[in-house]
Amino acid sequence: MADGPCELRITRRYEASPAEVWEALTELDRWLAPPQGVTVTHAETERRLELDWRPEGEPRSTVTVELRVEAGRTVLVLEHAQIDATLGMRYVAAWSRALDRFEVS
Amino acid sequence: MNALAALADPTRRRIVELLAERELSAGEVASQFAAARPGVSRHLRVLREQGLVRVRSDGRQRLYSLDPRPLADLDAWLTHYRAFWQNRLDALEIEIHRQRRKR
Repeated sequence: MADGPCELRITRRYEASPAEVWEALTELDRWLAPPQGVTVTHAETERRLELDWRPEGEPRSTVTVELRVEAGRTVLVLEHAQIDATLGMRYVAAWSRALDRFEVS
Repeated sequence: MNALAALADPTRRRIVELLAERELSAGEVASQFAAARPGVSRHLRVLREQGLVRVRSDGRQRLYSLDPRPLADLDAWLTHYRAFWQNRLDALEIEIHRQRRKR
């Protein structure tokens, strides 16, 4: 599980086939109950699902879910990234140092 | 202009990098650039207006530093959604098992 500066990434392994995971994944209301402002923008069967994630009052973001097979299990990698923060990513390191000082002072 | 547009200017980005190292007076910031002092002061004002930079007075001079709140907001967002997705992916696993039992 490795995060970038403006996104999070979670990896899960399921004892199930990609078809089984995909079937459950695409029943969004059953496991995700997506808030208002969330739409599916891309779906590649048993491979990739993309969501435009724009609940009111939150920064715009995108969620991507990718499936692959590894040692007989399905690996699911979910990434949730802020769109608008991409331009400022180079400066997150600068903010991070400032935040460290803020917490100390 | 929003915070990210404020960072679109290369001089402002350089000012942010300088202030990431330590607090500086306006004069110390300006000395890093060939540009005239009023230009640097204008950039500092834009960065303050966008909440990226803050200023305090130590009696003798005004000292500029980065405002860490934008990153704190990002950290809060990441913390919230990390927990949210762990919970939702647990629910997905339950849904996979539920599906399997239906077969």
